[in-house]
Amino acid sequence: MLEVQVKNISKNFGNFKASDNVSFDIERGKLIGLLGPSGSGKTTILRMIAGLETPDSGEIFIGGKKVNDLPPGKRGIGFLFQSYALFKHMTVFENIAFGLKVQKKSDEEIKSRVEELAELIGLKNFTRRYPLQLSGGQRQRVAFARALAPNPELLLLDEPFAAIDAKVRQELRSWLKNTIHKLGITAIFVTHDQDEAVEVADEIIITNHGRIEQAGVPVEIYQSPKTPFVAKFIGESVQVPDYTIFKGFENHTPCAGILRPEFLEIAASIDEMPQPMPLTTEKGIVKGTYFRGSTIQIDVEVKGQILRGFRGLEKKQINEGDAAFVFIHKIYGFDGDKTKIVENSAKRQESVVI
Amino acid sequence: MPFAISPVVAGLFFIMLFGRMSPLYPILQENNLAVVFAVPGIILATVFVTFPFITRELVPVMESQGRSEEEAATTMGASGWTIFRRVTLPNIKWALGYGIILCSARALGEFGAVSVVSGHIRGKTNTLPLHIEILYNEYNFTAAFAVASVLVFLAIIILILRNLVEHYGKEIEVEEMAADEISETANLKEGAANVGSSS
Ligand SMILES: Nc1ncnc2c1ncn2[C@@H]1O[C@H](COP(=O)(O)OP(=O)(O)O)[C@@H](O)[C@H]1O
Ligand SMILES: [Mg+2]
Repeated sequence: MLEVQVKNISKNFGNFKASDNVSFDIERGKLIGLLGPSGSGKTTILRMIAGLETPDSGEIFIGGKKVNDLPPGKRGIGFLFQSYALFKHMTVFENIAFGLKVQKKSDEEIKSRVEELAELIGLKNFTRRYPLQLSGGQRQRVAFARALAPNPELLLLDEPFAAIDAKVRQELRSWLKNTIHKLGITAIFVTHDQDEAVEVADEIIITNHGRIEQAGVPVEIYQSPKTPFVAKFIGESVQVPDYTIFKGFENHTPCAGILRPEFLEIAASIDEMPQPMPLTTEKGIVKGTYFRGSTIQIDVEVKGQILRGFRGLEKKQINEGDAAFVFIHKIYGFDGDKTKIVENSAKRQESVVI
Repeated sequence: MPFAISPVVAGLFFIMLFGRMSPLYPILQENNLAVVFAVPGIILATVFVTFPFITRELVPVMESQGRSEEEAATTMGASGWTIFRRVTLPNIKWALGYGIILCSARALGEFGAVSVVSGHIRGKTNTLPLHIEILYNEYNFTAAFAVASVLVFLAIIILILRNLVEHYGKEIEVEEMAADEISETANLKEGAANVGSSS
């Protein structure tokens, strides 16, 4: 069952293309992350779904109904603004009650619904405070409750965690994810933080320059990025201008590529490799080591390129200036505006043998 | 715009617009409407000259607040009038009050524009400052000063009002800012645990 369908929407501000032929579908009950760099048009897409901005062309469906000509209040959506946009001069209670008052609900109904939501967001004893008397995280939850109060089908959240300090953010993320899933509501949230998107979203839609680069579950986006942009944007990627200089990749036409740390095997000696393959293993100089908690990040220079890999803590320590052996399992090679996965030739030969 | 225009020029502008030379004049006459040299003219000229005082107070306040509160209300289905009454107005009320006071202070003393438009018809189209001028020109100093002191008295009242509004408005803001230190997520888990039952 599709909850949201966006079909070929475009939006220009002057001659700037904020949205360029954007299309995607969202299933009911899914929590979707709209991920992209700042200025890539995420907020614009969200505001067009909400009806706060009108697309120049294209169609938007919510719950199977075309909503292009419906005002925001009639679309069955709840919107969480990046700045929360709480009503400053109203108490928490009045803020949450606003949408219900507009719907002319009875006083008892409003009271019980607001109390239920205040309980849900853990602010049952704060309903008589004003927004300015609350912390950032609490304000965000009030905005969440206010958006939920009129029972929307679809919740739209613009950078919901951006203005909250790191410690609380982590806790709020999992709380929001659990709460949205428990309520069974469909939600789209905007973020420029890939860790956040991977952690919170069921599916991710990646935007760049007003276009959709790729949509899919996090694992899929991570493992098979369809465009050079996604390959670069996701993960801790290193781009090389020509990957055919590396051993194991010489038989390809020269082409730029992306390497992820997990594609690299870095060893202190050739024997330390799981399967020593001297012909397809590079030699390099360690340029830096960084302790990363569960692993050690190693930056190693190979043929003038700095590559990045991880090494387990249990392995022999490698220091800056040491020689190291580097085996590259695979590379995302560029192919016009697509990417292809290129495996090390040693691995392919091996699979032929088996 | 009206800030940069001398009140006298503004007055002349109204005479050109509504006076005998204007193409509008016959229409006004037909409907028995007197603007120039009558009370409507004085009001128009005063409003024209003093309104910038209100906008000057309001524009920065409204710009700094942005429109996201209004947009939030829109997404919840509120009508334009409800949004103005319940969201916009409460947010600008102090600036609006301050602007109105400034505006009335200016209106009280307005001379140039009104002088041109009114035509000085005593007892009919005269304002206090105009009356002072007439009395003064008639060498009736005592009367002129008497009227002037009425004006001064009104000015003082407005000054007091202005300070009250400013003081009270600030105090409320300070009160709102006095946020206590609250533990961030103390009640969060408890609330989340009850999600199932409350939905
Ligand atoms: N109302 C507007 N008028 C003009 N330009 C706008 C407007 N809203 C957004 N833009 C421009 O569109 C681009 C995309 O904006 P936005 O959707 O807010 O990006 P994001 O949320 O991904 O950071 C930005 O470069 C921004 O300057
Ligand atoms: Mg944005």
